[in-house]
This record gives sequence, C-alpha cells and structure tokens, in this order.
Amino acid sequence: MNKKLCGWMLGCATLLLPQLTLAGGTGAGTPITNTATATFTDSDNNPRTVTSNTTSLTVDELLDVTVSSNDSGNVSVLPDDTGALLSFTVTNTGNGTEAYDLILDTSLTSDQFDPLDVQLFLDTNGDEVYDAADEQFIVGTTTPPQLNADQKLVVFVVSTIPGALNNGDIGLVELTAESITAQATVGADNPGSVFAGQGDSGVDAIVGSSGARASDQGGYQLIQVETTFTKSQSVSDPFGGTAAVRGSVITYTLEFEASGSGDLTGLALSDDIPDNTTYVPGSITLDGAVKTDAASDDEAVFDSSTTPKQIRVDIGTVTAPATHTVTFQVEIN
Amino acid sequence: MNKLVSSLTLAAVLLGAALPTLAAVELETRAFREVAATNAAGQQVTRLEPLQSAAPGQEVIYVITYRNTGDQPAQGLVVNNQVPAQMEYVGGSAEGERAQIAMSVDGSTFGPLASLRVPTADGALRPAEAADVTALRWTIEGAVAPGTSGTVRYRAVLK
Repeated sequence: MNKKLCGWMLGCATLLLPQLTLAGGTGAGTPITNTATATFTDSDNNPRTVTSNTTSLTVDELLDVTVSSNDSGNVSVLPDDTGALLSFTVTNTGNGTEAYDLILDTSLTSDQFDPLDVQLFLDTNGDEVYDAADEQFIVGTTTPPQLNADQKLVVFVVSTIPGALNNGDIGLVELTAESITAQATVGADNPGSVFAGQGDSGVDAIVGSSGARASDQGGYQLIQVETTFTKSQSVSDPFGGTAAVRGSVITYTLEFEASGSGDLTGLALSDDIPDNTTYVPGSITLDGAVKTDAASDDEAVFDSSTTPKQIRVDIGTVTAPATHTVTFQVEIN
Repeated sequence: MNKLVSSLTLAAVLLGAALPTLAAVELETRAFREVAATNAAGQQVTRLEPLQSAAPGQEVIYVITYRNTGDQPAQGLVVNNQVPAQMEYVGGSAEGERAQIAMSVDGSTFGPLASLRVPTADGALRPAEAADVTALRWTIEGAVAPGTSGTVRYRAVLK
C-alpha cells in the first residue's frame, strides 16, 4: 500500500496508507483529543490567549493475530502412538478484544502421512502444559476463545500416529486462527478492510497486516532406531596358522550398528566365554581402545561369577547413526 | 483600564462579530487523513478527508486555522499545540505560512529539533528525535490583519 505521492506539504513524501505495522497499539475505543491555544497582542498592547475547539478521534479496532508452533522441530513419534502432542501459541496482536475461530488442517501435501483422530485442546488453566483441566475445542461447537489485546493462548493438538510408516516419515498439522469479526466475509480479508461499527464499543474494526488470520505448522516425525548386531571370529594357532587347536587364540569381534535416527539408552553388549576355552585376561577392547577386566573402572568387565563366564561392555546412550565394536580373546584349552 | 478591556472582551464574546471590537483571534483544530485519488484527467492526487476515528499506525494530519474576526490587527500571534500523548510526531511535517516553527520535547524549552536534547537512563543527554516531540509552536511573522486567516499543520502517527 506504500505509494509515492506528491502532496501539498513536502513535495513528494512516502505515504503509508494505512501503516499497519504496529502490534497492538493504542487500545480500541480510546479517545484522542487535541486542543490548540494561541497568544497574541491586541492593538491596546494587551496580551490575549485563545483556545480552540477540541477535536477528538476514536481509536479503531485493529484485527490482527499470530500463530506460532511451540515445538522446536518435528516431534518424535512411533507407529501407533496415541496422545502425540503438538503445541501452538495464538496471540491477539490487535488492539482490542477479539474472539478467534480455530481451524485444523492435516491434509497437507508436503508430508508423508496424515495424523489420525486429531483433537484440539485449549490451555484453559494457562499453565502451558496439556492436562485434564484443558478444555477440548470442537470446531463449530465450542465458543471461540476470546483474547484481550496482546493476550496469548496456548493450543494443543493431540493425535494418533498411523501404523504402517517408514522411518523418518513426517506428518504435518496446520493450525489457523481467524478473527470472528473478519469471518463475517468469506475468504481472505485484505489489510485495511473495514467492518464498520464491528469493533469494541462499536468502533470500526479494521483488518490489520495479518489479514486477521494466521497459521503455522507443527509436525510429527517417525523416529526409529534400527539395530544390527554381528559376531565374527578369527583364529591364530601357536604355529602362525589359523588352525583351531589347543593353545590357539580366538579373537571374537562384536559389531553393533544403530541406523536410522534417534537415541538408544542403556546399551550393553555381552558374550559368553565358550566351553573349553579360557578368557585371555585384559583382552577386551571397545572401538580399538583396550579396557580393563575389573568392574566399575570403565565400560568393560570380565565376569567370572556367572555360568558360563562372560564379558560385558556397558556403552549406555547411543545416538544413531553410530557403530561400536567390541573385541575379546579366548584361548582353546 | 483593565476593567474596561475585560468588559469589552465580554461584550465581544457575547455579541460575536456583530460588535466591532479589538483584534479577536479564533482558533479551530481539525483532524484529517490524506487519501489517494485519481482525478478526471487520470492523475494521482491526494486530498484531505475529515477524520473521526483512526487505527494504530495511521497517519493523522492536524490542521489549526486562525482567523482574526476583530477589526484591529493581531500582533505577535503564537499558536501552540501539544502532540496528543498517543500520537507520534512525523519528523519534518510541521508547516505554516509565514511561521517560524519551534518544537519541544519537555513542554518548556522550544527550538529547532536539532537543538533539543533528551535525558537518557544513565543521566546523559542524546539528540532529540521526531518521536520525542511533545509540543509544537508556530510564531506568525507580522500582524494578522482583520478578516484574514491562516493555517498551520503537522502530521502524527497513532501509536
């Protein structure tokens, strides 16, 4: 709406018509009064003061809104999850009290799946946590939530995740909030459109820069870690060969691979010492580093109290993709 | 003498222009908005429309008209206007025919904007900006002759 206009005042000036960039601003219905005064000297040299009429403007209601996702990136889910949660904040960025209709769209084309049984809940108790106190919002039934100027409302989206999905698949949900006043006309409202007398206390309501409507998307992403675990062996005999004879040393290699994405917690790799072999003390390695047999001083332990005896390596949390390799040796009796 | 003048003034107020008296200046303040339009020749023009309401961010043009309705010249006319608290003065927009324009950021010291200073939180002073202006003053050069009028004006944006 910016136009270069040549007016009576300053030659050419940039005119903003109207300049709808402020969030909120002076409250709707506020009277803005202005009175001028003047002094002069009359022909008898007496100082005189005069006061003008008082001109008054009423502040119109600006209809503006923002919607923003509260989730940092897609929310991780698993197939058939129920109660998968997204969070949005709806903010009345206008200058009056306004009610907003909430609209959900799950049929977006830029994703791989549509979340199921999608429900909306209003953070009725204002704690920004989804809990039993929060009222379900049923489109077309629930009274649209009313917000004062600059007031925020957290809205939760609760969904069920479909079963047959591939790792990394994304399902998007779009939440739209639209001013009820502006909803009186079908479709988008251009900034500057006037709803005469429809604002607070009967002032005009004017569509702000948001078009009195705003949307944002949140997403679910299927995050699965897929694991493979392989074991291999190599033999070296006392004579420089690879025969499995008495005194030969077998090196076992345990390879663990986590592919896909996500975290695994509490990962521990263990293996039994085979019958008719003896563990070679101090032979455990993890990712090429030699570990001790004693418990508690590092990830590895040789446990002779179990039957059969075993080695164990506690790796803990693994963030996929990742690979860990454990080796240990036994001697054939 | 003073008593005589005040009774004459009272008579002027009561009878208006019917009784010729000393210089009598009337002031009128009006609010407008500027709208773009296309004239019959297809040219882009702007015109002022009276304004009863405004939305935040909207620019308002205040026009103050002075009129000497007496039969003697008014000397040293000075028009004062406080920028409404909810409005922000648009830099460079104050105008007036035959007027010297001064402004103020505190309501007491008047001068060109470049000469004004605003105290900061740490007690220092910074140069004033248009947004700091709280009051405007137009000093009209020469006398305002009986029956003549003039206007001064400025623009301000509703916060």
